[in-house]
Amino acid sequence: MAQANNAGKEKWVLSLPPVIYLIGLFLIPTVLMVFIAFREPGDYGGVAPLITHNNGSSSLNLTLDGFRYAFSSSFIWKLFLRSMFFSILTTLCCLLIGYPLALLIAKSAKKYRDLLLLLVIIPFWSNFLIRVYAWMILLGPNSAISNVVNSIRHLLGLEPLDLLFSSAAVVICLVYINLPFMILPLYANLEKHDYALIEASRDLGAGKARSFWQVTVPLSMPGILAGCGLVFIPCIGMFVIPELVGNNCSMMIGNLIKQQFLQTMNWPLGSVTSIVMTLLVLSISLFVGFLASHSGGLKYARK
Amino acid sequence: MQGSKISKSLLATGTLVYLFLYLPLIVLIVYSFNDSRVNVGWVGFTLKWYKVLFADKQLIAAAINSLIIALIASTVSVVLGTLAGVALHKYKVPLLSTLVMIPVAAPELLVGVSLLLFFILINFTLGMASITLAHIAFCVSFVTIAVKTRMYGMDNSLLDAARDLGASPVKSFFLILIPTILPGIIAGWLMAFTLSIDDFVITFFTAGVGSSTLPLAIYSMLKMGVTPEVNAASTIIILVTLVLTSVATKLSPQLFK
Amino acid sequence: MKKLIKYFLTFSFIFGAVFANETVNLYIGSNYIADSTVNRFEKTYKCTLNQNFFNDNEEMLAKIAAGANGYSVIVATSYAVEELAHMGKIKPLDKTKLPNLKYIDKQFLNTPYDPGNKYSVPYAYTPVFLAYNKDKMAELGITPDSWAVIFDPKYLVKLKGHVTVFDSARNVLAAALLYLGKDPNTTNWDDLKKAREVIDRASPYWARFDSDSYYRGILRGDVWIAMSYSIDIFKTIQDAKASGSKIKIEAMMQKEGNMYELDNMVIPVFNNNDKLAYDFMNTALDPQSAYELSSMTGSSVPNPDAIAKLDKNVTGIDWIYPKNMKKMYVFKAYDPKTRIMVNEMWTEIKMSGNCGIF
Repeated sequence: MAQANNAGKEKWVLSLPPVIYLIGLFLIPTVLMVFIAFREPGDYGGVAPLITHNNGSSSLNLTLDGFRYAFSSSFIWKLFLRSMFFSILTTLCCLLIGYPLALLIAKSAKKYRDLLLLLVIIPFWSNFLIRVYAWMILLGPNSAISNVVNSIRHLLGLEPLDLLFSSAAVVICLVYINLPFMILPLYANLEKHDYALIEASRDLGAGKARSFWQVTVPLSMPGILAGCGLVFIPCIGMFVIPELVGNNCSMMIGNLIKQQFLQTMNWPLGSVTSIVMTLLVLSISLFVGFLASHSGGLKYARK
Repeated sequence: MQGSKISKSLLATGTLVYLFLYLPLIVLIVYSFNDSRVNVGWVGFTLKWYKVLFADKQLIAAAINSLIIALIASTVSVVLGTLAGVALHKYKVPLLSTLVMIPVAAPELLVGVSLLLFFILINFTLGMASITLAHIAFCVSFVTIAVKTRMYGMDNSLLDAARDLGASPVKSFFLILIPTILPGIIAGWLMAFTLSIDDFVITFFTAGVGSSTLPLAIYSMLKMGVTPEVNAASTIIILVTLVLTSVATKLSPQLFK
Repeated sequence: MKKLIKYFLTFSFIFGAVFANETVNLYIGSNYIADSTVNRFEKTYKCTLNQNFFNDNEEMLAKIAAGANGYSVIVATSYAVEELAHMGKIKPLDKTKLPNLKYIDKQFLNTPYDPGNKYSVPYAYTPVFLAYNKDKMAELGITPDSWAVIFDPKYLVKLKGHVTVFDSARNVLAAALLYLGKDPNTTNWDDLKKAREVIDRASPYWARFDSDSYYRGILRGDVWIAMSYSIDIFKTIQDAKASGSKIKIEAMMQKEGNMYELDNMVIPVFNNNDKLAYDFMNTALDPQSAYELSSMTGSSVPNPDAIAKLDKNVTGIDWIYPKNMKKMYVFKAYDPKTRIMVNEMWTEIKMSGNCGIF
């Protein structure tokens, strides 16, 4: 009895400090933001007073205007759609580039694997602004890449193009920044595959391509889904990359949110957009999780 | 997977991907030694951008700020995260496990913006303190995960033996538990330190006067128009990360498994 | 242990160096004070001057409204002074502590945005105009003497993708209103809507909204014409000369009139070292500092004694010291309602422009 009591005490001694901290700095701020979404914008940032007194009658200033404005504005829809499009494109590019590398590492001899993996992680450990900057140099006007692209365009009789400050630059940077998030889970999955299965499929007469598409790929489904989720989710809320390498037509939903809080001071609209974005991200992660738990590969991986 | 043959085309593709990963950084580093204001074409070797960099008071102040914040944030979050990790391993605390998952799953932008609103509404001056508090909040989760992972492999009989021999819970916590999970704690600390020193989004929203951190300073240099001074700063940051990464890998290999 | 003590000493040394002196925290646009002035001020008053930079007034206002504090002196543009005063974030000034105010040209005092200079004293001003690539304009046969060049598709078809305008609602709207022959400070919603139509029609031709690095684009050659600040263009022309660039950069005022950002020094309410703040203001008002500012950065200073000392190569430039001040306008603050509506409008313009989803 005394021991159970002690255990209960210990449980709370251990968990109370982190619980209090996380409630104070995560839960409360998030809840605050939800409240602000239903308020009216203040004259200079902030929100209008909750209760106003006017000639003896008081009125409660709660409103759905923020949500109404967000859902009825075509430009906000456009920003959401564009963010989705950029993120999906980025995810597909990462998959296309990351899969071969993950496969290569998984197939390599054990003694090289750690090194090869570390080589994937190292660039990812230097600050992401620096990695974006590296592409600002590579894509800049008069850079080698720009010159090659524009001389090809010239041969085809097309106008020269700005590579930096374009939607293409935004997607390239998004791919570069997020690639390791695709490679690592893919590798973790591919590494576990039993080579005997592939051999068996080959023995049964399957060609190289067929055994890849019908054995390796389905088996790696959980890795693919995890990688896609890890790449897609941070892409959606990105605002720095469009700001640094994008143009007028490559602004994303994150840029709108940042602008509402740091420039135009419309907190309620900023909160509404943040909440909608978060719900979008959450539902997508739940969907990916659902897919993962129902894909055949996972059952195999569990064994 | 090992044992299957590596085809030439796979090897070629893999090499190209590594090139894609490294070429941008190599170009950036090379241009930090270029004697030209613009990052186009090689003019000649110079170290002048490094001289400019070391004379830049604002940037050095920002680097010091980053270090101070990262040291405090990682240390505090290691204490909170270790408590949380041990609690989650030993007991079922649904509230805590949900709270720990929020910062890992929620978009960074949401975390940054909601913290900004929170600090403003409670009238907390934005500055070094607000950045540090915010960093601790998102670092705790990662430390918790590192500590919890370490505890999976732990032999509980040691703790039972200590208790049987009459050690108080506090004593067995500090003398037996902590030393056993120390590698997990160190790994968590390193992770928190890196996350803190690297963070841009959350810092961007919670920063105030005179509290510019290194990523913030680099961001404004990138926005205001770039000189190769940024290349020099980046080169140094890349080298420091490289060294730290190799040290960390040696110290706690399981972090990378 | 020895090592630990060493680390501790190093740290306390760093801290000591940072905190030994009293500090003045200046909140100012970047590249807007001469290094020699900073050094002289620090030496004279034995203090440290910390510069904090903002990109534009909106960002500064948002940060101050959000409760950012710790600044001793803010250098803010006309309408921002008015908004700071409305917010109750700045202190009334004690003119007896500002003897150097006598150096300032009367036409920059007692302005509509701060009658009687209750809260602010002028620092310097920055005209907004079009700067361009001389050879490109000659090649295309365009003379950028009118705002039409960046608003009228007749010109824009030849310039597509090579025009930048500021990332600033006030400046872009004002230019469009001037182009339409309207009051650049209008709060008449019909006029603002017309200005928006002009902007929507023109924005597909613009490369981007950029008030931070457009001048690098001009220097690189990918931007042919840009809404510009005098200080940026002054610096860029110097850079072009220094790097032996083949690109010839020129600028001119527009016949419909131009805005100029008259920047002022104000003291925030939360400042607790007024003596040092006034010392800084007096230093900045001094003809020597104004001279240094104008000759170093190409800012226009409201200080006749300083102008008299300046090189004719600077004072003779029309886009730094405009000959016809009658066609130069300052920004006045919007009332909160107009501001919120204009912000909404600007968000729509900037975020969607006239492009498709992709």
